[in-house]
Amino acid sequence: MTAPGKRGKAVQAAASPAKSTPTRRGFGDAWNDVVFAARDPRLASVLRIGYGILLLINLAMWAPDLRLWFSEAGLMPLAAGREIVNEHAPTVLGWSSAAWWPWLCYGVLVAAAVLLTAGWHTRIQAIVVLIGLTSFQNRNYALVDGEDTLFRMFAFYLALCPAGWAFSLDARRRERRGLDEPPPIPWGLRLFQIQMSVTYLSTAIEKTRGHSDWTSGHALYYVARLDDSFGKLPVPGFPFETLWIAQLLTWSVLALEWGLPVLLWLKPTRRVALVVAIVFHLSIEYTMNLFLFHWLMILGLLSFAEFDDLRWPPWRRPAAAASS
Amino acid sequence: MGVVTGPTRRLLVNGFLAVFLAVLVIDVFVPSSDPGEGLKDSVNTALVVTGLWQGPWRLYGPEVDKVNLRFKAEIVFADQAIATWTSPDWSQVPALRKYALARHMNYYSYLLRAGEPAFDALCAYLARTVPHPQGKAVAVAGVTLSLRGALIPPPTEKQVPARPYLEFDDWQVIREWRPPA
Repeated sequence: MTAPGKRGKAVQAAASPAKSTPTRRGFGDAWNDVVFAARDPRLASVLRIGYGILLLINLAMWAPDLRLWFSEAGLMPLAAGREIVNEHAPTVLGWSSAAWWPWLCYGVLVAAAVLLTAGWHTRIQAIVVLIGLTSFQNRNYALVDGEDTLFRMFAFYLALCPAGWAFSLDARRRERRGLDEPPPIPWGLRLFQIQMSVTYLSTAIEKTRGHSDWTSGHALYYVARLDDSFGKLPVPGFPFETLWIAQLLTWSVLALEWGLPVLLWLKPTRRVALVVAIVFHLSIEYTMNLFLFHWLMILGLLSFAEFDDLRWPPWRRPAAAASS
Repeated sequence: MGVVTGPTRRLLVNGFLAVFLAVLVIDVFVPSSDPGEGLKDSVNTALVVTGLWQGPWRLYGPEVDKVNLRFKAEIVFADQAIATWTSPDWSQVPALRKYALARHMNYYSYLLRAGEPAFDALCAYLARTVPHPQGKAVAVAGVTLSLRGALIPPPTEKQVPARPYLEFDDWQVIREWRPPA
């Protein structure tokens, strides 16, 4: 990316912390400082584009088996699908049993995903994506895993972010109309951060409950012998055949999942925690077949970075440019 | 909602966050078996309807999967001919193919938990799609669905090599399906 333009400078000015006079401050002030902190809203747009690409990959993988998974002629007719999901779970796919109906719903969802990625009426597309994903997941719950929950939640958070502020057709339209709006405060980015912390903390609690495979250190020993999810790319066998190494790896995962919800929020540890977390997810992505889950987690982690941190190459970042 | 300009807007955002975060905490952190179950139920319906349900994030916790599963179906035709179908042998599927079949892996992992409705739907699907062994146009008389598992032994009892564990038990019938009259 090149040096910031007029709007980029305005955004950077808005994102730089304001000078404050020392006053007595309560919880409300501290809360507002965190939630409404001036951050570069272009980060929300980066998350939108990353999310859109992952969503389109996900939807592309559905296409060859759409009839198999979501039609009356497939493996899960509507009546059976309703029996394995919460009775209140809504799905527009249940509105018609016609063979073309899942394809129409799919077409609308793909269109919304494309338009969300391009940033055309971004907020509306994010809501359409949320409704579409919810409908497909509720239609056949047997296919659903953690990444689908993240896909839904992230669509909701994008609807609350100024995700169309930059790198979007919305931004182009705003420029064409000569609208000189102040950069929005992307408080919705906090929801991404909270979601990531909640995910790590929840799984850490679940894994530590009672005498589990995680507390005994045997979890990864078992995982390395599963025939579906493990063994994506070549991995040496010895770490999983030497029990103390397998235990050390297992406990490292647990320690990381306990630590990240705190370390990601503290300024002195944030960058290191981010790098460690990204390496952690890439390592699992290398070894396990979990489709897009880890890429979504990495995307969510980027909400802890600042837009300028994501500029590439690093010497084009404003701090580096200023020091040189 | 992204542009927060005035104190009223800020108040609205804070109100929304207070409610949403409280609901999120109840949804994710309150165990179903606790005295807080009533509380959980009260927010669950709203979250399910809005598509915002997530529940606890287990991610292979507290216990990881310890068994590799295979399903088999024998499709018996009216002339007593039998065709056999088996679920994929994942240990033989290349990584790239597994990537494309990610939803299939999810389906077979969930099938046992989904139980009878999903078994019946699978049997009905096989009855419609698996051809007669001799290619005859004969109706299906029934489908027998079976399951077998390879339970990975605990490392404290017996350590096995770090590769897919495929010491399967015998087949067990889990569903005898007949087409509706």
